[in-house]
Amino acid sequence: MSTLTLAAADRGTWRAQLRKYAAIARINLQNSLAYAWDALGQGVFIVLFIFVFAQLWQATFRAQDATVIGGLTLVQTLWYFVWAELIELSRINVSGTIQQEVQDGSLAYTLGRPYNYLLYHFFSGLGGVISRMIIVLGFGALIAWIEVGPLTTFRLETLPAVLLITALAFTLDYCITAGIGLLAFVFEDTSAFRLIYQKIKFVLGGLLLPVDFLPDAIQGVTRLLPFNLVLYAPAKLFVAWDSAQFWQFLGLQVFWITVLAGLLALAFRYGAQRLSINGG
Amino acid sequence: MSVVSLHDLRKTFTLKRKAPGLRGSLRALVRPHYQTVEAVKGISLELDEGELLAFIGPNGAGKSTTIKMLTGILFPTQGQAQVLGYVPWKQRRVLSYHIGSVFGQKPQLWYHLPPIDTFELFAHIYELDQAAFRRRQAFLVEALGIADFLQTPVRKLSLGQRMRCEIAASMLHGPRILFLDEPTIGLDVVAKQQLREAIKTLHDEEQLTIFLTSHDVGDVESLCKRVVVINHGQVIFDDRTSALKRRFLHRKIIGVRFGQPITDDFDLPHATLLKRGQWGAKIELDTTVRPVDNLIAALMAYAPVVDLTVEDPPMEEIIREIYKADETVTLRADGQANDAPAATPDQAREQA
Repeated sequence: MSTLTLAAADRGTWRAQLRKYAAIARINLQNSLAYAWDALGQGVFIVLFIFVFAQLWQATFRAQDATVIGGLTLVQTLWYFVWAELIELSRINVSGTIQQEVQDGSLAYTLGRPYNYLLYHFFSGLGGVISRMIIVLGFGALIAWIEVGPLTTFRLETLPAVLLITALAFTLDYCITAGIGLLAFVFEDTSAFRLIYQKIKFVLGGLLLPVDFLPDAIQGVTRLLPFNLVLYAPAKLFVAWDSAQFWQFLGLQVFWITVLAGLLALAFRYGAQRLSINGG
Repeated sequence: MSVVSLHDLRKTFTLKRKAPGLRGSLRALVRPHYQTVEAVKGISLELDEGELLAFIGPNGAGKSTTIKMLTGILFPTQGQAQVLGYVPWKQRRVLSYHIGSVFGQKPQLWYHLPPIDTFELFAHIYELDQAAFRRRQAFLVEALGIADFLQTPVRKLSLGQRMRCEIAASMLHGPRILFLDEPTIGLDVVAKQQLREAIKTLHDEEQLTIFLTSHDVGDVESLCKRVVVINHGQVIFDDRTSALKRRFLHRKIIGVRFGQPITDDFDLPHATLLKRGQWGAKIELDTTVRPVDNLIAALMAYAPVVDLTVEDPPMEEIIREIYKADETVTLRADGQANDAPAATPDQAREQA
């Protein structure tokens, strides 16, 4: 039986490609259910994190005798961290996997399969993102609600736009982490780069505090870089919707994703060509 | 018609070397030392459609490197190769729809999910028609005997069951050539036999071309009509399996354990006693001098046998024999043997 008799009528079309990558995402979603306890662990983590932040920011707002800091109320600030942590804990953490696959040569085996390696990992990662997001959001929202009450500024009609910016944030983060993983073609160990990226996200990405809280000079630099688009942009729009800011974030995200995805493709092509596996 | 063609294929790896100790580590930082290793040294061969070729050799001989070049995973350093008219490392995406590959040490099944989920995924990855895929899956499930554990998570399958599922996964898209890299590695005797039968069924039913690498001579004997032996990256034997058996696989190692102690008069003509214990013995037998069944009959006549094993000599020994037998003349694929054929088993039986 040849491949021709088995091929779908629309083989090679965008529809077939879409089905292919959707199937990749679906199987990883199924697989992630085998790691449901891990996701629950992340749920516990966000409870602790939001609880600590609630105490910290309640004290800060009291000490400053302020109802608004950097344009955000206490409720908004805490829900900001829920959304930022949601992205951080659910993101496609692929750099370690890619590093491993470069080092042990398993990346080479995927070259002989009819899919794009980088898209495979992206969609495979997305499958896991969905289950983690549901769990982390559930736990995070619960503790934030208990600590400061509901996010009254949230407008349901903005949710699709917030989700779009969040999806692009995952994409941007993937471009960066996959790039770090591909550095394994040059460096034996990429954990130092992972650590640097994590710390940058903490300070310049808005994970430790919203970018609006930073001194003006640092804010200027931060807004030029892609890191705040990963966490700050979606979290800020979630708690304080601003149409003008939405379009600005969208434009910047598309720009950075285009640039980084291009670089990623080049890095992958370079790496794939110099791949050497110990055979035989 | 030739479907796989290799001409003077070579692959060289550059490996970083480091002297032992702290000094060596520091020196490697400043002035790294590289060593060139020639894994494949000019392999040329042709494989016809429907052929089942065994590509065997000891560990490190260059088998996997060759199969990786043929499946487009590795770029060769030099030489040419075509698989179904495609240059594998240049057209690997197109080629992937027409070939299947199983790498014994690199599973493709999702570990925590049942095999049927991976099959579904592969149907989408290879962009198969759903109805055709269902029919194809049903055929493979039957041919490979995997119906009972199709819905069991892969992590709970035995290695043999897993390997049969791996083969099914790589056959779903109906490839014309199947590359099997060490499929029987790590399997027990029963699982090996089941897998060999499954491979044979697929080959017979689909006229499938199979390129099988192994360091297990048993795979060759039970499956392949043609065998290529490779050592240190070079082809040292390319002929019919029957020729290999006749010339180099005529020695067997027989282990026997009796139900009563061995007495001093234990003696076996035309066989070499390698080891002798109180209850058992290890015997080396040249089957051209005395057939296996003849020796087993003698052992059973001597005393009640409680356990018996018949083993091939290890691959390294066969290769030594090949070198020994052919130090001056190159063995060729046309079967023109350069030495007188050894006695057939029937002749040996008569002699014994």
